[in-house]
Amino acid sequence: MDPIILTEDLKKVYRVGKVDVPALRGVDLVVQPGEFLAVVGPSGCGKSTLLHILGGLTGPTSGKVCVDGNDFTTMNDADRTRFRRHKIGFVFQRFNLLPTLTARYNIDLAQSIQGDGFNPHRIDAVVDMLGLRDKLNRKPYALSGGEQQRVAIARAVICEPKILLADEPTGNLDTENSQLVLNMLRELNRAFRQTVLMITHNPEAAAVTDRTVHMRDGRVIKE
Amino acid sequence: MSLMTSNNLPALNTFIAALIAIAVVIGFLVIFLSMYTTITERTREIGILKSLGASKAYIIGIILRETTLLAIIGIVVGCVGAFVVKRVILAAFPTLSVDLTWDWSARAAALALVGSLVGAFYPALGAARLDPVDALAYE
Repeated sequence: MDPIILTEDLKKVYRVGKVDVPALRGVDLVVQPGEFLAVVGPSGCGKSTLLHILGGLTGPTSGKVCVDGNDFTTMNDADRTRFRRHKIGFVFQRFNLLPTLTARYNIDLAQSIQGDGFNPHRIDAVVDMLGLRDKLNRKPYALSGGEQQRVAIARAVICEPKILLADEPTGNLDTENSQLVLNMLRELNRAFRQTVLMITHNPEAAAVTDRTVHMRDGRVIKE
Repeated sequence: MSLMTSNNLPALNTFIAALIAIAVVIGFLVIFLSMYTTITERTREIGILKSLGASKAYIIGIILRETTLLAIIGIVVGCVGAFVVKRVILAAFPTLSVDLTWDWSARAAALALVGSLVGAFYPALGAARLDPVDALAYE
C-alpha cells in the first residue's frame, strides 16, 4: 500500500527579522494509512512546524512532501486550502472552538466549509462515540476542557478526513480527561481506521499509539 | 419663517453640502475603523476557519454578509430615529419646517450600504490573506 504521508529531506526555514531560523533540517518520515503515530521531542524541535506543513497550513522550504498523493511542491496556497478542507482534520492544544457558537454549530461549521459531499449520518456516529449527545446545545464556555476537546475532535473528523493531526491534544487537560481524549483518538483510529498523527510531550500519551517518532533539532532522531 | 429654507438662501446650500460631505467622510471612516477593529479582534477565529479549510472567498463572504446585515439594521434604526427626531423638533419648535423626503432617505440608505461594504472590504481582504499559523497564534 502507498504511504499516506511521505517526506524526504523536508526542510523549513523561517525568516525572523533578518535572521533565518531553520525549524526543520531534513525530515524523512513515512506513515501508512490507518496508523496511529506519536511525534515526541523537546520544545522547539520542529514538531509543530512538521504538523503545520503536513496539514498544509504552511509550505515547505525544500524537500519532498507527499500527503495522500498530493505533492506539496507543486501546490499553491489555494490548492493547499482545498487539500486541508477535504483531507485534514486538526485538533489543537487550545481546542480552538468558536466561542460564540454551540457545540453543534461548531461541528456544523466544518461541514458548511466542506460544502457538498459530507455524510449526514456521520454526525450521529461521531457524537455518540465521543459521548457528546447531551452537550450539543452548549457553548464552549459551558463545557469542561475535556468536553471542549471532544467537540474539537468531532469537528475535526466530521468530514472524514484522511488524516487527523493533533497538536498536543492533552496539553491543557488533567490526567483523567487526557486519558479520555486519548481513548477517543484510539477508538477513532480503530473504528474508522482513522490515520492519526499526534504531537505530545507526555510519555503516557505516546504509549497508547502504534509507533513513536522522536525529534530533536529539526530532525527525526529515532523511531 | 417658512421662507428661510436652504432653497431660498443660496449660501446655506453650499454650507449644507459641505456638512453632508463631512458627515459622509466621517461616517465612512467610522465604519472602516469599526470593521477593522472587529476583524482584528477575531484574528484567531479567522485562523480557526482557515485551519478548517475555509477559502479566501468564504472568509470575505461571511464578513461582507455580516456587514450587510449590520448596515441594514443601521439604516432601519437611522430612519426611525430621524422620524422620531423630526416629531420631537416639530413638537418643541412648531414654526420650523423639517423635511424628510423618501429620495433623501433612499440616498442615505444606499450610501450607508455602499460605504459599509467598501469600508469592510479592505479589512476582509486582509483577514482572508492572513497566514493561518500566525492567525492561530494570535492572542
